[in-house]
Amino acid sequence: MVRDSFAGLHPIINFVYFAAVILFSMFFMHPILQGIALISAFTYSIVLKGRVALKFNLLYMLPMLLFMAILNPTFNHAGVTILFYLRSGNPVTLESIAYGIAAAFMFITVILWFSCYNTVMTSDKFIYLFGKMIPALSLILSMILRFVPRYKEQIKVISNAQKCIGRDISQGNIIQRARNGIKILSIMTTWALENAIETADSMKSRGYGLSGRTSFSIFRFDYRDKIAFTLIIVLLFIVLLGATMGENTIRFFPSIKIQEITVFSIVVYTAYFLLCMMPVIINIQEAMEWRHIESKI
Amino acid sequence: MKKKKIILGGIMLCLIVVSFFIGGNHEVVPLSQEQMGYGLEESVVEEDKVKAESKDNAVSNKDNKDVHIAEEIKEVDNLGEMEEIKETKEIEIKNKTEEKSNAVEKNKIEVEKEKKKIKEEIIEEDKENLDKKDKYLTDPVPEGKPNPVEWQDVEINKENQLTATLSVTCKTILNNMEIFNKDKLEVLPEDGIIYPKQEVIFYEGESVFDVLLREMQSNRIHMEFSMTPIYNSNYVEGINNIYEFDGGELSGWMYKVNGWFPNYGSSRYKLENGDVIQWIYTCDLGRDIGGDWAVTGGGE
Repeated sequence: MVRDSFAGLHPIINFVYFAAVILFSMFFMHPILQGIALISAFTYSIVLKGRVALKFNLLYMLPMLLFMAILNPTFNHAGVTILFYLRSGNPVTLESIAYGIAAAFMFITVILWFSCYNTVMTSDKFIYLFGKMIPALSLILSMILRFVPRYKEQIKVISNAQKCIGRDISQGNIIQRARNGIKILSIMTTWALENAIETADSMKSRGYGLSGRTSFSIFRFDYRDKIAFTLIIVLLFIVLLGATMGENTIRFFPSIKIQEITVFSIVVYTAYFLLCMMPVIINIQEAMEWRHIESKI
Repeated sequence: MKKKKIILGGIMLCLIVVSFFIGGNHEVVPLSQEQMGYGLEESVVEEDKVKAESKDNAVSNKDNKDVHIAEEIKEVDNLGEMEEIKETKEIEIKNKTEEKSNAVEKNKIEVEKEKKKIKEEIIEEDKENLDKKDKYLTDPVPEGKPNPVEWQDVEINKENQLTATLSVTCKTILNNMEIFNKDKLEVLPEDGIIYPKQEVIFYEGESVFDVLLREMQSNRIHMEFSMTPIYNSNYVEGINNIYEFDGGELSGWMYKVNGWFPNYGSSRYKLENGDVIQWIYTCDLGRDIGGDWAVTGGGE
């Protein structure tokens, strides 16, 4: 992985950025804003993880998008434009299909943002931000948020160890494979429980959460961070202003209704685009500067 | 730390109190009798007539009494002891009127007592009915009204065409616009009539729901429903995009056949020739359209 310069900024900036972006992509169902969010999340995940992210997005996210888009009209029948009737007698409407597609896009965007969040907001950053305020909760949260990647790693370790003694899920006939798989899962569960207790004990014995305890951190709020932070705040303000004016939402039922595109709404869209693309822009800017310095030599 | 917690608790309490008082409390305006339509009008008129007649009777009785008294007075006149007796008579009359007013008060108290008794009886009946409910949780149907028929047991005879009258209205929303979902204004008809009263054809054995579904589909009026197995009936969620809960949290679609709101689902009401079906939107669990018995079973 190439070093990500957005991840090198102060944790508070990373956190505010992801909190804003994830919440916005959950609540703003306006198609233009959704498109912006999806494109930026997609780009950033590729910038962060390269080919792996591309493969993951195409292999898992695309089928999920189709599935979710089809699922909605089978359960939701509201809307004024009746396309045809289901066998049960309920109508399938244009609005419910549109809503299904929008919801699927929103879902995938949020998943992409979270995958980026997991790479950028490491647990030390999270605990640095919230360790003083809410020690217990921040520990739990940081443990939960890296739950899946960590367990995936551990399951690989266990499966490799089992492979050495011929008991992996890739060895033997079907029944044996199943038994081996269950065995690996049981080892995994034991490890997870033990590990959780060990972590908690270890944190406690080091005085985590006690008053007067200081902890080392390498984070500094410097000039770069100040610029980035003010930029985020300004863009947030514009987008929220748009939200209060009703520019960012769309009404699906009973008929689709979007606010007309005006100069102000274009300003809001640009602000949202800049906000979502911020890490990518910072990365590009840094790369250009680096090339500039190199070319001088 | 403790102080903080106390302050936090105080703030939350304040918020709850504020939201309790500010939170809307809308009274639902019931339908006027003109809006209710044809089904109820007749019975109301009849009741009025009965009341009027009884009043007339009461008035004539009073007149008779007055005449009697007047006659007595005349007789006394003849005897020449007019004034004294007149006074006594007046006193008597006064006494009588007082007694009358006392009697009226007594009557009022008795009426209230009777009402209470009736209520208690209804509640007791309800309790008894808990055991009498059928397997789809329906209370016993009043005498003279059709019992529910399970749609699984009915065979539809396509050869025998019958007619019924169907109408779909949501007039009660017009009286309660302030609790209506503003997004749905564009689908709300101005006069509250979604499907005007008209004769429709159905086949022998079909239920109220079947007729509604066919008519809505053939007229391209939107309608959503879902099967509810515990009541063994389809539940109509929305017609013409006006859904349950669009007119407050007590709103939804109810149906009425021949002026009666059945206390079971529309898929279980087997139609007879000439039945009059009305689908009516309620904003207040049926109280605003005169159909609360079907929902509450007559209890409180």
